[in-house]
Amino acid sequence: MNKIYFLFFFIFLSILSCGNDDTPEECGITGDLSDIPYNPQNYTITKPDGFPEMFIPADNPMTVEGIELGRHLFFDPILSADSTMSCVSCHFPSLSFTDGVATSTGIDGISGTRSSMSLLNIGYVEKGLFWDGRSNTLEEQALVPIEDPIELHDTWENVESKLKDHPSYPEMFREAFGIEDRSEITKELAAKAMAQFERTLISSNSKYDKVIFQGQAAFTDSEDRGMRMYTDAQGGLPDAECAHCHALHLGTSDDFFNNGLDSVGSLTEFMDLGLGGVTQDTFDNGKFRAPTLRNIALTAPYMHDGRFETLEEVIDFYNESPNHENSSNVDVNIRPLELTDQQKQDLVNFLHTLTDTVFTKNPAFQSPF
Amino acid sequence: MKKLFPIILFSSFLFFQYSCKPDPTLEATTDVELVFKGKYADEVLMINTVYDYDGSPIRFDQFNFYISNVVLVKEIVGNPEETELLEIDFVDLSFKPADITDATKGFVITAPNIPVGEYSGIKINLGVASDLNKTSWEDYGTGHPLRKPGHFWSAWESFIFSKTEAKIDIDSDGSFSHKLAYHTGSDAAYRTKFFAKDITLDEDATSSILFTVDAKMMFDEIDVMTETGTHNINDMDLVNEVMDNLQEKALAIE
Repeated sequence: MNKIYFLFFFIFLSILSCGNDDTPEECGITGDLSDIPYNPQNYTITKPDGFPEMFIPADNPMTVEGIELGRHLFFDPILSADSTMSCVSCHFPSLSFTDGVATSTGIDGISGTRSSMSLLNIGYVEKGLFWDGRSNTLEEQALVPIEDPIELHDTWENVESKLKDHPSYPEMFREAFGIEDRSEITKELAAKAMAQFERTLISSNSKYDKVIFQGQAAFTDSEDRGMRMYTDAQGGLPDAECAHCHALHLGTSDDFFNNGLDSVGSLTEFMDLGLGGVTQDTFDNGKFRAPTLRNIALTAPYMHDGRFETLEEVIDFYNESPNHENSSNVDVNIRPLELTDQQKQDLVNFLHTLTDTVFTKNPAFQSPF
Repeated sequence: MKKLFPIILFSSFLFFQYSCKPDPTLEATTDVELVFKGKYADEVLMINTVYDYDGSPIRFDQFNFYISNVVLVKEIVGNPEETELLEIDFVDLSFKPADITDATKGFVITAPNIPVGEYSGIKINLGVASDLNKTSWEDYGTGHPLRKPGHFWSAWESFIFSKTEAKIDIDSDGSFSHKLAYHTGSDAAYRTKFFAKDITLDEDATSSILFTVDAKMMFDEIDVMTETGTHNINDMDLVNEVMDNLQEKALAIE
């Protein structure tokens, strides 16, 4: 009998000894998972017309199980320190995975300085993620918000512990990655799963796609004029200079530009250095990623700091380009456009043809909870 | 058994003797480096660096171009025999001032496994060959030189063969307000440049062929005050002038 009391006492001590600061191994968060079948099903991305092949890293092949795990993690507040926020808190599917506000607020009520970027077609980005290009891959990017003090403000050590101790995640990690024991759950595997889910976020069902690739629709005269100005396709209409940074069909040139948003005396005076803060090259100061314009009508407010509420404001800004001579690295294609009111409206109407609500309503992109 | 031993030894010797000799049917090859050095007149070319353009300060934002079907040529007269160095590549001379070492060294493209021997010249095509220009950037995998969304112009149905972007401070007041954006493309803009030059490729060493590209010459005989950009298919006259300048005046072999 004394032995039984001793055993209970030992278990009680073990539980008490598991503080937040302990590693999972110290806490004994282990558990054999090898009885759970590991038969991942390959997932093949269907290439939409006009899209390139998506680059899939060799060490993170797409699987149905990996994507499903990534979707759960994306929508689960378990990734934040106080379990109140998740990735979706700033990336709503209905808003093309943005959040509708100028700058996002993290779990501590601290507002960031940049607008939430759309995750639409994010798998096609090859030249640096975030507005400033600080992460090279989706796997790298997915690690960042969890520990960012103005976002989810947790630690990966703690998140790993929570995942290891969770009733269902260890099984999902097993099914996705073949781990043998719940102690093998790592932040790298979590990031791989989220990256797999993000690579499925493909939008190719806009009116633009139906006109250009599927022959199932036609542009209105106004939309057609807007597209020709956007791409400088034909004489007789002004060049709106859009496609230099927002090349079709993806709606982005996958590069970084200073579009003349801010008036600065020198390249060191930008409030937000953007790409320059990452490369430490002053010539990159004030440059930001040119985001995709697909679903742009759903992703207001606009620019890296959300300063413009509407597409009309954006077009007005480019039409005036008030700071086009102001700093040495403003892109050469930024210049006053001299568009008429009708031409500006034509551009806005064309941009609306890039809206894809099939994407925003896709059940595979909604919360699994 | 004692008699067999010398036979085995001799057979082994013959086997190793012949197995160690190179296969005479295999051609000896080497790697060839094509080195492109950007310059502005006599200075090393870098972006965001001030040069003099006819008395006005000028600085570049980018300078790059495609090259296609680069071949080494044997025998200029008669039947020239061509050895392909590369099908397509992208020469980017937009070095930043922080990368002055790289800018001085030049942009290097390596063509591997080129047969050694004596060649009498090199042919470079400027732009994207028409068969490839029928395709689009989306047709290529990650890392391919044509997978550049910013270098494809859907309205032209063409890759952008070259981009020369610069700003001039016309009034020398510190404001580089005069902007030049010469983007070229379409099959009509494709140019061929042949350099007659004795080129010897040795088996034991990587060979380098050095070119210079003078960005100043891209503007030669172009009125940069009035002709500030080529984005439109209707700008073909200017596109042709720019590509002629690249072919005839800017690109040279050392």
